[in-house]
Amino acid sequence: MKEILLDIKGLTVEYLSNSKIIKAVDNMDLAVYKEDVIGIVGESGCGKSTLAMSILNLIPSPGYIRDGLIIFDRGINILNLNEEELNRFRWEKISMVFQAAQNTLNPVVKINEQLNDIISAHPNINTSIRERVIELFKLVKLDPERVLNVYPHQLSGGMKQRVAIVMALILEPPLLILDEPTTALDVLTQKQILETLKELHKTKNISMILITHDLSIVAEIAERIAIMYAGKIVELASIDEIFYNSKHPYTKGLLKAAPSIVGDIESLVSIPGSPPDLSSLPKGCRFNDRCPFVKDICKETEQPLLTEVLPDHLVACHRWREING
Amino acid sequence: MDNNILMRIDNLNKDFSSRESILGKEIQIHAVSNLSFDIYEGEVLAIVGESGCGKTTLGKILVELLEPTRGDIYYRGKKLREMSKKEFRTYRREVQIVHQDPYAALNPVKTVYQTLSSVIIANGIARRSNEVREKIDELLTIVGLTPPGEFINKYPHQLSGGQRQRIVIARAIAPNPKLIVADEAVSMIDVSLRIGILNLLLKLKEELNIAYFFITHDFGVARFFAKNNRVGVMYLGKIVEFGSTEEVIRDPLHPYTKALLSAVPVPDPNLTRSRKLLPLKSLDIPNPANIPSGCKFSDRCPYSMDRCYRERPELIQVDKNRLVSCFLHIKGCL
Amino acid sequence: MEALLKSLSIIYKNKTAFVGFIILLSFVFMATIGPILVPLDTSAHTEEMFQPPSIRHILGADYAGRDIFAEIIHGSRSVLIVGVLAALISVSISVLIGIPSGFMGGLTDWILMRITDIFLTIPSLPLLVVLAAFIRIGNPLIMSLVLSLTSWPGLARAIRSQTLSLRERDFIEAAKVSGLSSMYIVFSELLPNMAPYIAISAIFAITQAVYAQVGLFFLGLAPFTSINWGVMLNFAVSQAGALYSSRSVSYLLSPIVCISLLQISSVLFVRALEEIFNPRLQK
Repeated sequence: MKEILLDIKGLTVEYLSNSKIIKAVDNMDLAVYKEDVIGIVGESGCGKSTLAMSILNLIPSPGYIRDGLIIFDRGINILNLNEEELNRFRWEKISMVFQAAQNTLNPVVKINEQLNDIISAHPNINTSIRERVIELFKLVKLDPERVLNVYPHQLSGGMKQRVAIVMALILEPPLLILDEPTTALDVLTQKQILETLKELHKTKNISMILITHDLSIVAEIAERIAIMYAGKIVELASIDEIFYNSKHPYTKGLLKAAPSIVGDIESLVSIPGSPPDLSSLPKGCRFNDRCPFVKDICKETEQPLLTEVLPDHLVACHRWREING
Repeated sequence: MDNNILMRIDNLNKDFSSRESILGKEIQIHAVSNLSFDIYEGEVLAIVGESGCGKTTLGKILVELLEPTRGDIYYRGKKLREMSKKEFRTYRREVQIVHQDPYAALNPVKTVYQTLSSVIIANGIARRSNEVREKIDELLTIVGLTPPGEFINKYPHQLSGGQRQRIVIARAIAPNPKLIVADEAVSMIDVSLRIGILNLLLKLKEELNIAYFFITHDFGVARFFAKNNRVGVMYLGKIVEFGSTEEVIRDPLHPYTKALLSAVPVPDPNLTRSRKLLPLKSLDIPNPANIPSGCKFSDRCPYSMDRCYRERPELIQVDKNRLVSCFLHIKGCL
Repeated sequence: MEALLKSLSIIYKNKTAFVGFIILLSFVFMATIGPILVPLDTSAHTEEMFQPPSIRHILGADYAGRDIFAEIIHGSRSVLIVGVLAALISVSISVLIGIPSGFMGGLTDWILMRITDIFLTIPSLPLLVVLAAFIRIGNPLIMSLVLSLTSWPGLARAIRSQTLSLRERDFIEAAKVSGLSSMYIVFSELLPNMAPYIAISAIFAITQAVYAQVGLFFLGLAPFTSINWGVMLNFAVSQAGALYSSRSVSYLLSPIVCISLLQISSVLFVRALEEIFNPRLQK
């Protein structure tokens, strides 16, 4: 049984819009193990980015964390840390590569100075930084000579993203969160970054949470996958189970809707309807207005709970048994 | 598929000048470089390439949003530059565009009705308000937004991404076009909705005999949309490979195409983890100031030979309907 | 009608904007109906000289015993009329030059911008001094024209920049490709998107024109045909020795406070304007 590194319990994140309360993340439980690579997959409005930001308590107003615990390494509740403790915690224990990280680099500061800034902000860490920087650069296939002494605008998008990954790893945190790390990158760079992350995971045993809308990307590196819809996890299982033995209609729908260069294109079909409007969700199961297997029970009873239907395979669906024969 | 050529592109070139820094040298960027090809009536021609390859620039030139630096475009046999006013008006009506970002492609202060009616009236499709309203209802129904009354008075921000893109498509088909340039038409749509939009476009192709110039960076989407049609692969302003979609994907000839196909992730863990990226000499596209003088791909290609650094290969037919610009595939070279 | 009511409700909901709106409305009231309600006695009453604020003279009396409050009210009319007129002329010229310049580019842009640059480099104060010697600036229309002459170039450049950035947007490209004429695109697609910018610029142009006017009167460059805020400031310093003694404090401060209030209320009100014009921001 693997050890739990990050334990999210009952997390609810809300924000106010049009004087209505919107639940971006609704009473979510999720455990991330040591040396785990978990992919969080969902589309617009599912709450995956909100989830990522709340782990490091970075939710900007008008959003706020209403409830829940985020326990790191069975000891620290991240949501209880004060400003100073949070600043030390971030980047030392958990760090993050944001969406379009190339835009998070300071445009008027050279790369090596930005790296130094991170290091000097955490004076209690004292390992040979220089070697680590060179090693990390080699890992992401960046030439230190070319990259260290320049400004961000002199690098391509792919290079900037790799710099952002180096910056996230420089203090060797045990957990790395990546939010859509390869969107806006071209396919060659994307593959390279995914291979790099795989390499990192193998050599450094870092746990990763990879957030994306693209199932194909998690297919490359994840070991477990959580499928999110309208603020809740609807299916949570190992990667093989998700791809070859999915139980939830939404997961099945996603798999059948993704055009790719392999597989049968005749059977591809979109999920009907539109992404959920969090301010007016249907009563009962939130997927009921788009689900091909919907029956009365889905509309009338409470939302289905995430239950273990097979070892380590959880599904939130009233009719999972009938649907899967 | 008809054999009528709808649009002919002849030696198209588009250059931009740019400076590296304020006092730096001025360099010429060859965004589109000596392109020649035909677009047939009712066909799908997909162009696959990554950012910086010039595909968007090419798309804009085809709809005359940009002027080429050199070269000509023929529409229905007539050169664009030499068209009479009437001929140009026909071209304007028959060639339309669908942009990537549905939000940016709609005027935020106009309702669906206002957006569509202006196009309908400007193109003489209808004039009296009841006719206009009828046409709008028809368009909305065709693109799957029913009941039309529910959408007529909405502003773009009140619609979802998929709905916005359907409005954009409705606007594009309003003037009865014969060719639609679709620039990354589904890249900003949720994956679960893409097939729906693509199927809509294909349905319009069948029913209204519309040809598509389909620009994308996603080979998977190109495979679906350009099924039984043609695909071209673009790199740094040139088309490096051309052929039927199925053949190009099954048996890529150009090393760049091979690299792209090896890098595309697929939703199948066993498969995708066993595929390795073609080992390229460099991961990034070259600086515009440092483009190789021979084959543009020679500084990254794992198979580059002497000749590749010295000469620039032409796009040559190597098989029935198959073109490639690579010395590896030119007889007498290997 | 519905749009008007909706706009009013937006203003009401935003408290600071509402305050600004009320103050602006008061100024409009002051300039239009005020002089009818509050009579101005222009004859001198030396026994009332420099009276501090009291029940009879709410803001006190000036150096000749005249009621300052009445002077402020009567003085607002010409100042605001000229301000609004100047702003209208200035904004009109800027839009007519800035938008075609930005949208069409090329030679048109070059010519229009060179003309703008010429006007931009002419220093306004010396120009006004020279003009004052030759033209009867006392006439409000002439005064408005003269003021707008020096303020339109800056605004034209700003509008041109706005146009340049909007021109590249996808929906403008789509409008071109779908066959809409350039004229239609400029007026029906572009202009509505610039309406908030133009409206806000217009509001500030009014304040700028008021400043400029008051400055002219204060420096004695314009003839004193009737009492107004600028004249009051001039008299406060020249006739009432406001810089040396405290007896004419209210005479000095009254017009200054009015001008400041005008500026502040414009800034506050403008917030609501943005929301009215942009359906996206409406909650």
